[in-house]
Amino acid sequence: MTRGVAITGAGAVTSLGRSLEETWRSLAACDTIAAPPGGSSSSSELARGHRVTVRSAAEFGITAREAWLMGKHGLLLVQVGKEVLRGSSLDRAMPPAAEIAFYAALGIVDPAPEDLSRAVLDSLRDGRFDVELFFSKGYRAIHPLWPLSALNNVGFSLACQHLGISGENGVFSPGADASLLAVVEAAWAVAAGRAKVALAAGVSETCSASSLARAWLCGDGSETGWVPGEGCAAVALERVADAEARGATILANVVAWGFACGEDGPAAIRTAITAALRDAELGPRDIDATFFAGTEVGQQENAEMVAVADLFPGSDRARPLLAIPRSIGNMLAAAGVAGLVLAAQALHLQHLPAALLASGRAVSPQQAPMGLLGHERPLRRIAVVSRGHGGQVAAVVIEDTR
Amino acid sequence: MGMVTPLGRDVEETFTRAAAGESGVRAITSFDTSGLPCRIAGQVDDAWLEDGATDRMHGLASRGLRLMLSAGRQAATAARLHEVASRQRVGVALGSHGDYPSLDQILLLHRHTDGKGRWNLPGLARTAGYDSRQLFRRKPDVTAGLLAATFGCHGPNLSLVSACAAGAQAIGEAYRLILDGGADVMVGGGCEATVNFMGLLGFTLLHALAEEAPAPETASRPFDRRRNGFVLSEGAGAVVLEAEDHALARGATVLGEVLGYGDSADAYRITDAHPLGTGAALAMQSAIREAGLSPDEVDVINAHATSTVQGDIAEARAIAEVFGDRSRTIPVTANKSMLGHTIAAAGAIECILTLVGMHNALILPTINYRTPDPRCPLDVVGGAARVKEHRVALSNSFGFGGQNACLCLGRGDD
Repeated sequence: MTRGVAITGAGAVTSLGRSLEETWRSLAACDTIAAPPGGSSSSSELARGHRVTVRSAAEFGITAREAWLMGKHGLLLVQVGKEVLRGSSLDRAMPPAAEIAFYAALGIVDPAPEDLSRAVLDSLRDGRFDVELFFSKGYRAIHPLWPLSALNNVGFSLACQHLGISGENGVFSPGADASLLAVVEAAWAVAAGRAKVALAAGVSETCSASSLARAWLCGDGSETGWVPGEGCAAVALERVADAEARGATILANVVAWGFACGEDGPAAIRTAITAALRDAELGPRDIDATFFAGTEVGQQENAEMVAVADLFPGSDRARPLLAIPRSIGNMLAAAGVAGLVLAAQALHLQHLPAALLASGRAVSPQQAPMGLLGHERPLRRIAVVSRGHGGQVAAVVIEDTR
Repeated sequence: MGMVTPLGRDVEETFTRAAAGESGVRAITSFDTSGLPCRIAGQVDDAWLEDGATDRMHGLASRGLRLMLSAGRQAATAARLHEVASRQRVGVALGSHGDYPSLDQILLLHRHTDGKGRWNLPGLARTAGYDSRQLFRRKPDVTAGLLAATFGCHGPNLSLVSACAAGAQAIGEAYRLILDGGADVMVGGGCEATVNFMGLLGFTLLHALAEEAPAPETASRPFDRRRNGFVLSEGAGAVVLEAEDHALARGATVLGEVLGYGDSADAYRITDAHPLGTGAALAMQSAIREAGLSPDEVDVINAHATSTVQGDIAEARAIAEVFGDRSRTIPVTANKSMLGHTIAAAGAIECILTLVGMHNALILPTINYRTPDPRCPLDVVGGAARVKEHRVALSNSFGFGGQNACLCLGRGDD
């Protein structure tokens, strides 16, 4: 069903760049963030995160009130959405709003303790929360629209408003597989003719106290832990015929996908990739590189390498394996589409940034004798795989159209 | 199909009591509501809930998950889900929102953050009384992941967080996944467990709740001129969706059919529905079109109708936009009059009640509909349930923020 769907625009904001172009340039220069950057946000050495800077809301005609409601999630969606529409030239002749679909994965929107704690502290009587005191005084310290700001879909809905989109839509949350689900839903929307254009996006959790605490509890800070990366990525999808008719540049075609869910990491990854290959009537030999987008640097990366070693036996093991979080952190809900955007760029430019190559340091040669030092033949197809902490895995295959 | 609601522990009990016009709205008993302007809600009896499936899950078992497990178990059992051999072709799509931190937790967290986004994490970890798993219960995908683990669903796994539209969107996305060949079977649905102090506080601050009613049972009054807000509620609904040929091949009983699904974004204002119901109309039109039908072929509408002043008017206008003059004669029912608003579960629960109504030739009543609002000129089924054969129905769900979903449903026996 996904055949005949073209990626005609791509954008990203990551800790390596304020746009896809900047991010790619940094990657090409082997820029990495192996050490916590200056923007690291915690007083605790155990909690690291890689923040991004969002452009001014006013640049996009977003009021201060809306910006507060949208939070960083919504603002990133608008910023990257605009980049995608501009890059695909769709901004010059936008289809009617109802014919544009929008699917996105959003990281958890956490209530900041400080959003409420002032009001709660003002409402304590003899050390206990007093409801009457709260409603007579304490509640004034809470922003009147605070309850809306805590809903995951509010930033998304405001982004729809500012991007001029009113077609079919969905918000998935918050696993690392979720934005590849968004890509597949968007691809179906255009393939089935329900939408003329579809955006698919992902936004990470913001590096808030709560998200960093969650990451820390998940193993961040340990030898084999992971580092959360803030950011957003998005693609514009159209039917190939529509894209060609308007003379758009096609970065790549979405040709296959597969999903799986299970506690056995390698098995779930194998299942998702196998389902994707079957979907496109492809074999392992048809895949020139694999991008892992939602990996942890340690244990989970091992699971992925073991899975790929099983799937690509013999000489096919020489195919490059790339681990996106090595350079830009684990973008969680944005991870899948961030991987897809970088894979599309790699296909388009026929280049694999060395900064993304997985090391395989903790995997025995028998398990994962991957060729990690570049590639010798043209890149035709890349599989992008992303696995969430809940065991959900999504795989999408894209191919060069030239 | 399975559900657990303030009206009953399963589909049969909920439908029977709803058909009798009973209300599940009561004074809140699960926590102290002293001083709160709204002290009523729809609450599910704890005795109806599962404890949590496995030891591994136990610490992560939020109330939402327990509600969902109860509904999911009923649906899985009725559908004989365990008999489906290819588990990689069985997926889960759920509308759910993670647990919100309680007031006590927020106070506890406050002691370990400096107000500028910095934590003393080792200090938090050492704190007695704070369960760090709370942070995971906040994750919406935990419910979908654990439900999949419980029922051995190794296929696609989706968590939708589109507020009040989430349950219907989950069923809609599950339907599309099957239609597009991504799965043979999907467990779709939604759950909500927001009846707690923080949930009530949030909606109170938004002035969204019904605060004035002579009795809890009369507070939810969709399309009635005296309505003044919605009643918060909790529950879960689950359906097992299956490709028709797959269901027939394994001898499964077909309880209904998703004929079409439409969704849209208002792209208007974040605090209000579009006053003309433009987005809602678009969703209904898409669902009818996808079903290959015309508006004239729709027999009944199960409205979103939360009992807010503006929301009900916008929906009435959307119905008029889609159905023209027929909007005054097509029967409209509002299940939230009896159940309250179960947020992410509402779309799933109302989808199921719509299907059961079709098979019983019964349109559920909209209780408390006594003084029609002239701004909502619809044939609202007020008073008692209406006996009427019907074969095609719409079930509407519209979310805060302007996300709209509509399921076009059939009996499945045509």
